[in-house]
Parts: sequence; structure tokens; C-alpha cells
Amino acid sequence: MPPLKKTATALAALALTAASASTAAQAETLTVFAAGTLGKTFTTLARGFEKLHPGVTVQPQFGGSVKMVKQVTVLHQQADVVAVADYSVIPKYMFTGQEGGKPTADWFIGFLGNAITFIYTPKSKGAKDIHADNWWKVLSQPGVQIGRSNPNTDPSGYQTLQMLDLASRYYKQPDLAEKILANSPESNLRDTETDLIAALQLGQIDYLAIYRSDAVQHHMESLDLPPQINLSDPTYDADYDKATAKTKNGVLSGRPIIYAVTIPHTARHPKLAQEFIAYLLGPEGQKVIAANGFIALKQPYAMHRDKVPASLRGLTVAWPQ
Amino acid sequence: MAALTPAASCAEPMLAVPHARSGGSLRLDGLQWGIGTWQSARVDLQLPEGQTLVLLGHNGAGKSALLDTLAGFLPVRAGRVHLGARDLTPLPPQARRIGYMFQRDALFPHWSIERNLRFGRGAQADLDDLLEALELRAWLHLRPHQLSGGQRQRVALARALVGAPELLLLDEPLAAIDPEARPALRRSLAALLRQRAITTVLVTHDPNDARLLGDLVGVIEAGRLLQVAAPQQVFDRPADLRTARLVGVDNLWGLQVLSTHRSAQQTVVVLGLDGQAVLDWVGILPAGIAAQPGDRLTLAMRAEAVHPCPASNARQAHAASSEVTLSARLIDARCEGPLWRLRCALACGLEVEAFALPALWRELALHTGEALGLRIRQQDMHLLT
Amino acid sequence: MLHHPARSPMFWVFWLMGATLLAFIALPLLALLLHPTLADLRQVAEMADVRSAIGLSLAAALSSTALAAVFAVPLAYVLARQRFAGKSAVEALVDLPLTIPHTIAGIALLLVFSRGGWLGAPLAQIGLEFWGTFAGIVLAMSYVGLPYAVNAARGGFEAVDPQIERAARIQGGGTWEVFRRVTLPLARQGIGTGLTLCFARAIGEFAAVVLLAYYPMTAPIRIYDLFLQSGLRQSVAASVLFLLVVLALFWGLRLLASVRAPRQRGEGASAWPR
Repeated sequence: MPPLKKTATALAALALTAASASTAAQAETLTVFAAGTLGKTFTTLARGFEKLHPGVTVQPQFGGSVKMVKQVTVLHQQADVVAVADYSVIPKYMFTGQEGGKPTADWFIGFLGNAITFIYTPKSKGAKDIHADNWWKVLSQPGVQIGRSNPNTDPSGYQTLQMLDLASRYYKQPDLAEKILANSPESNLRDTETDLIAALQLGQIDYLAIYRSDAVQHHMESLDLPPQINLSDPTYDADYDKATAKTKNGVLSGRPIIYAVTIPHTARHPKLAQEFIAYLLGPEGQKVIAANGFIALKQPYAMHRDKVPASLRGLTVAWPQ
Repeated sequence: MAALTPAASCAEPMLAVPHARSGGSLRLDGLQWGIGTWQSARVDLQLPEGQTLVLLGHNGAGKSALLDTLAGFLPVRAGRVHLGARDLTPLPPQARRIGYMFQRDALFPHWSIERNLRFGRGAQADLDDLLEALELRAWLHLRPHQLSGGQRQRVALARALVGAPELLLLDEPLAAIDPEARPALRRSLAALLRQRAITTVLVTHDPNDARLLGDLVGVIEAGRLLQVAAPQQVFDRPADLRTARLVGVDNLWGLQVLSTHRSAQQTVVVLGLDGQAVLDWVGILPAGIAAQPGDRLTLAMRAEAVHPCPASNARQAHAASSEVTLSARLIDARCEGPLWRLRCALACGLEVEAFALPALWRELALHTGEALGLRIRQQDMHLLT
Repeated sequence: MLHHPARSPMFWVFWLMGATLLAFIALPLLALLLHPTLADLRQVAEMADVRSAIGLSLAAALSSTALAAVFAVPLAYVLARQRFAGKSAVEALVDLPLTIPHTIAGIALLLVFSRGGWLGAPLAQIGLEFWGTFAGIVLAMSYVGLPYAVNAARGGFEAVDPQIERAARIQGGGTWEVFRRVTLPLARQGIGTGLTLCFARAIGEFAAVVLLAYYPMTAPIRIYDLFLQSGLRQSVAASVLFLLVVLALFWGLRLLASVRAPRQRGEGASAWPR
């Protein structure tokens, strides 16, 4: 064959292969957007799910909860499952249309809990003497550097502020929050708390406000804060509600930390997504969740339970009012 | 360098007022230079103050490298360089007070001609003199890229001369000039160098440059100085075959000694080719040449020393031993400006180059293939090993 | 009337390829520029923290370009003129920041310059800190921008005929004087390009900067922050504002460079092979 014809044929063959490969991939790929702190957990679950469903590829993507949700609502990226670290992010951004768009979800399921805490290393200032009763004194010392995430953009950011507010009340130290936040100036803020783990390990900061699950996953020391302040227990909901955090998005009241999951309207593989969530809520999923330091809920809570797909409804109870 | 103007080149007044001698004598003491892995031989050389040494050699002979070493751009591998009373060897280029005219002008492209001349040594110098001599005044505000190659060379020469350097280095100064313009410019440059009387080293591969510009000619090949002498000496009596080639000797015959005998104070060597005698050479044998029968020698004679004459002259037996007349046949004749260059062949097959003045050529009225005689003086024929 | 001979097919093919490339660059920019309304632009321009973020980006990028001028230019000259053992290793090292993913570059800088790092610890003693400071931003920007400065400046120096430098030396110029008055002016275009590229690279850097300094926020970080807080509209408007400022700056720099560049011979005449 003359050279030009050869090239043309090769290109055509390449195009066909690529097209068929992509369509094949499309049929079997599940896109999952999840909060950064779910990284390890969801990756493990993804592999487990793939084993049970040969031919299926799960592609998880992790980032700040708000960022991942906005990728769906504003950038119109395609996701089959969306999981966030604070359940309130879903109704806030997905139940209503964003920037003139349509609502992207109308239900969610709370599937695990977490606690907010501080993690530290043996190098951290005051690490030797710190324990559950004096932690706030140690953290108030001048010269201690404390890191946290941006309350305007990240749940753990405003949850940290709420926790400090609760601590001020709990320990009856009105200036506790102020003193601790003095050790956490703007320079110690990041978009999401996981961005600061490197800084903690390098000794740039001494304490990092983060979830207990991260402490377990990164094998780091963490403070055992009382459940009245660490937003972990739904029974203290009324107390949590008294605490506030001032953010650019308004004054936010404390809520228990419950991670939630939903299937956006624009999902391309809703049936597969439901199977994945069922797997997540099932015994396998719960085992992985517990192993990664999260708090397993006695039963998953569903908001707008009537809108939850039938296959999942039975696994949930209605959101407590 | 379009005319250092015809006016300037034939003006007597310029020659009548030579500048005071500047610089000093140049002495190379066992100097060895090199570039990369190549290294020259050790060279000893003395150039009197105010005189011009022309280094003649092919490209790659190490001439430019020598200039760079004298200028201080290349380190000296061995030996020393003295200029007058100063030892230049440890000095950086800017302290040597040397003017260098580069082969590719190397003018500063971002400056006007005036600023080109005013940099460094030229900052406080009096430029008028140079501007007149080289006719640069009209270009002072122009940039180098606005001038032609030859014009830029003029500026480069001025820049080298500015600020009274003690040594002048010229690298193939006429290389950028059209061949037709070279003879006139060569004369102009010669006049300028004579007038300024700066100790000068000029590097070239053109023998004509050596003849006209040099007080001393050094023949250099592969970093080795083959001969250093006055131009006439080098051209008329090249020291060896390589030198002969370099100075442009046209007739180099490889002959065999058939027999020798002594006659009066001189030696007669019968030279031949393939056993046939070609001619008898008479003279005093140069040192180092034994001329035993069977030896191979080269006979060298310049084309201008071979005089064409009518064929009948060759047939007449000339007893005058100071001349040799050979019978030859004309192969080709070309007019080279003022002279005719003839290419002839002897009976034995050797080719000869000869010159004829136009008047003689007309007289001979020869056509290709016709017979003619070639007359050569014994003193113009040299034996080389 | 002048009749140009017909242009060759090659000319048209090349122009077509070129036009495709230009369209590829222009279309997304056009989409971006047309997205916000003038009201949107005015709104973000009125936000003090957007203005200060843009100002901070400009100041930090200029600072890192200044650092490049001081440190990259001499290295570029050495690389252009000197042969030495290990030269290719040095060249590879200079190119390394180009190949490292930006996040990793940021982490590497943290390792050295954080409170407990090799250089961060002693420097903190004299009051120089890089975490969350202007210095940290400049550090991250410089790391990613310097290779461009070195390589382009080197090209500029290599274009200067060493013979001209030698001519300057033999005329009586000392090494510093020759570099300052002859080499630098002749290498100006290459150096200018290098510094411009360094600035362009520095001002747009996100990942390496954010690891060292989130607050104070540079423009890219502020734009991202706006996206997270408010949404596409405001963040695109802020992006466009930032882009307009930077484009205006570059255009100005190019104009400045072309006005002062020595005009080359043969300009204007088309050199296209007929």
C-alpha cells in the first residue's frame, strides 16, 4: 500500500479502537465524588465493589466536600455517587438550583459519624503532658501553632469553630476559643484540613484540627475530647445547636457530624450507584468504615425518605426530627 | 575597504611624515601555544620594533591561534612573550595594549561607529588622524550593519589602531575584500603600516600579502615555523619543499640525480626523469643536500623566472652556463591581467608554468601545440630535498 | 503596480496550521472573556480582597523575577560560555523544577523552609519565615519560574559572538565592564524573554504556592476560593479581571522590548522562499 493510504488506514483503525474502548468503558465505570476524609475508606470499598461486580470500574475522586458538590452543580461534571463530610452541604447546594441551574438531588442518606479532634506528633509543643483534661490549656500557650481548614469553604473548618465554642461553655472558660484561635492565624489555614497533614509532620504546626478518622488512618495521636463538644453524638444535638461559627456564608449552628451520600439526578449509572450505596450500607461497608476510625451509625438516616430509591429505602430510617 | 581612496594611496605627503615609532620589539621565547588537544612546536622569534611580520600558512596551520595567544585569549602552553621591556605572558588582554583586527571585523553591533572607536583605549584618543586616513568621518553615526563587509573591515582596522597600541595584530585583513579590490587595498594598507610604524604581526594565506606587507615573512605549517626571513629571501629561496609550496612556487619538479661533477667552484648536477637527462643544474650545493647519483631531489623555480623564447633558441647550443634553455610545447595560455601565463610541457612530460609580457607574447605569436623555448637562469633554479 | 509572484502552497499550508493553533488558543480565552458581564466585572473589582489578591500576585511575581535577574542571569552566562565537568548534570538540575509536579515541589520546599526545616530553622532565628508569608509565595514562584529564566537567558548569551567580547577585551575593557556594556546589551532579547517567561510562570502558580501560603491569598488562590464560596460567576469574573491585568502587563512589556531592540538588517523584506 502506498504510504499515505497506510497512514490513513492506521489512523482509522486507531479511532475505531478508541471509540469502542470508550463506549465499553462508559458502560462499566462508576464515578464517585467524595470528601477528602473518605479517601482511604472509599478506595477500599471501590476495590471490594469491583471484585463483586466483574467488568465494573469504580473511579473515586476526592476533595473538599463543597468543591466536589460544586463540580456537579456548577461545572456540570458527571458523578454517580456524591458523598460529603457534612450532611448539610447536600441540601444547601444540591436541593436548590445553583446559578440558575436545576436542583441536582432531592434526598440523602447519613451513613456514618465522626468526631472532631486535634491530632499531633511527638514533636509537637506540649505533646508530652497533654491529655483530655488540660488540652485547652496546652493549646492556648503562646508559641503553639495550630492548623485548621477554611471555615468558609470546608465543613471541618466551621465544625472546629463550633467545637471550640462548645468547649468554652463546657469548661466554663469564656476566652478559651479566643486564646486557641490566636494560635491559629490565617497563615495556618488551608482549603481542607488534609492539606495540613504534611505541615504537621514537618513540624510547621503542632496541632491540627481534624476528624478522628484521619487520626486513625494516619496513625497519629489524637485528643479524646468529650462527646459533648466533639460533635460526634446525635443525642447532644440540642447542645450542639447552641454553638455557632461565623463564616462568609453566614452564622452556622453546630450539628452532629454525619457524612451523607446521594445520587445526583444527572448520574449516568443510577442502578449501579444504588448497588454501590447498598454495599456501603451493608455489613462489608460497615466493617471498612469502622476499621478506618469512623463512627458507625446504628441505622442509616434518610432525609426525604420517600424520594430515596426503593432498593435503598428499606435499609434506612427516616431522619430524626 | 573600498579605496583607502586612490588619492590617499598615491599621496606622497603621507609617507613623508612617519609617526614616531610606537611599541617595542616583539620577542617570542620558546613560545608554545595550542587549542584543545593541538599544540604547536616551540618557536623562537624576534621582530624588531616598528616592523611587520607576515605569517604565511594554510588554514589550520595555527596562525590565528598564535594571534589569540599573543592577545591573551589563549593561555601560553610554554615559553614567554615579550613586547619591548614588558613580559606580556601573565597579563590579561585588556592590559596588553594590543590592537587586534579580527577576520570577521567583530565590531560592536549595538553601537555607532563612533562609539565603536571610543570604547576602551579609544575613549580619550585623538580620532581625527585615523578618520582622515581611513575616510570614516561620514560613517560616525552609522551602525555596523549599515555598512558593507569591506567598509566594516576599515572600521575594524581603525579600532585596532586607535589609542596608540604597542602591538598590532591583523588576522587575514583582506579576506573580506573582493579579489579585484585587493591589490589596491594591499598597497594602501602597506602605506598605512609604514607610516604608523607599529610593531605588527599579520596573518594570511595569500603570498601576495606577504610580499607587499611584510618586513619579515614567517612561513608556518602545523604550528611549526619553517622559515623566517625577508620576503625576497623566502620567496626566492624557500627553505624546503613545504615552504616552496606555501609561498606559491609554481614549478616543482621531482627529478633524479643522474650524475654530478665539479667544475671550477661549483657543482654540476645532471638531473633527469626516468633515466633521461632533462637539464644540468650548476651552482653551489645548499647545505644538507648531497646530490648523490640516484637521489631524488625537487627542482623549484618560480613561473616568473621561466622566460619564453622562440623555439629556435633552444636548438642553438648555448654554452653560457648561467642559463638553461629547454624545448617545450605550449599547452595553454591565459591572460592574467598584466601578464600572460603559459602552461607548457617538456619532451619528458614535465609541465612548466611561465609568464610572458604582452609584447613578447605578441611577438612569439604561438598557438596551442606549437614549440617554444624556455630560458631559465641558473640562480633562479633551487634544489630542495 | 507591484506584482508579487504567487505564494507557494507551502506558505498557505503553514498559515492554515498556524491559524488553527491561534484559534485553539483564542477560543477558550474568548469564552472566558465573554462570560461575565461588565456588572460582574465591576462587582469583583470592587471587592477589596480580590484587588489585594491581584496586587499580591503582581508584587510576588515581580519579586521572583527580580530574584531571577540576580541569580539566573549569571548562571546562564556560565552555562553559555564555560565548558566544565558535570555541565550536563547542572543543566539537568536547572530543568528539574520543570518536571516535578507542582504539589511535590511545594512539599519539597516545605521540607527545607518550614519552621523545622534544614534552612527554615536557622532562617527563622533571623526572622525570615516562609509559612504563610510573602517570602513563602516568592519562594514557591521562584522555584517554578527560574528554569525558564536560566534557559532563555542562556540562549540570549549564546547568540552573542564571543569574538565581540574578545574584541572588547583587547580594546582595554575589563571583564566586568565588557559584560556590562557589551554582553548584556547584546543578550538583552534572550534575557528579556527569560524574565518575561519567569514572570508568566510565577504569577500563575497555584499548587506550589498554596502549600506554603494560603493566606495571604494570591489571585489564583482567591479565585479558587471564590469558586468554592460563591460559584462560577464570581470566580470567572475575578479570573477575567486578573487575566486582563496580566495581559495588559505583558503587552506593555513586549511593546517596550520591541521599541528598544536594535533593529536588525533586512527587516521588512519578506524572507519567504519563493
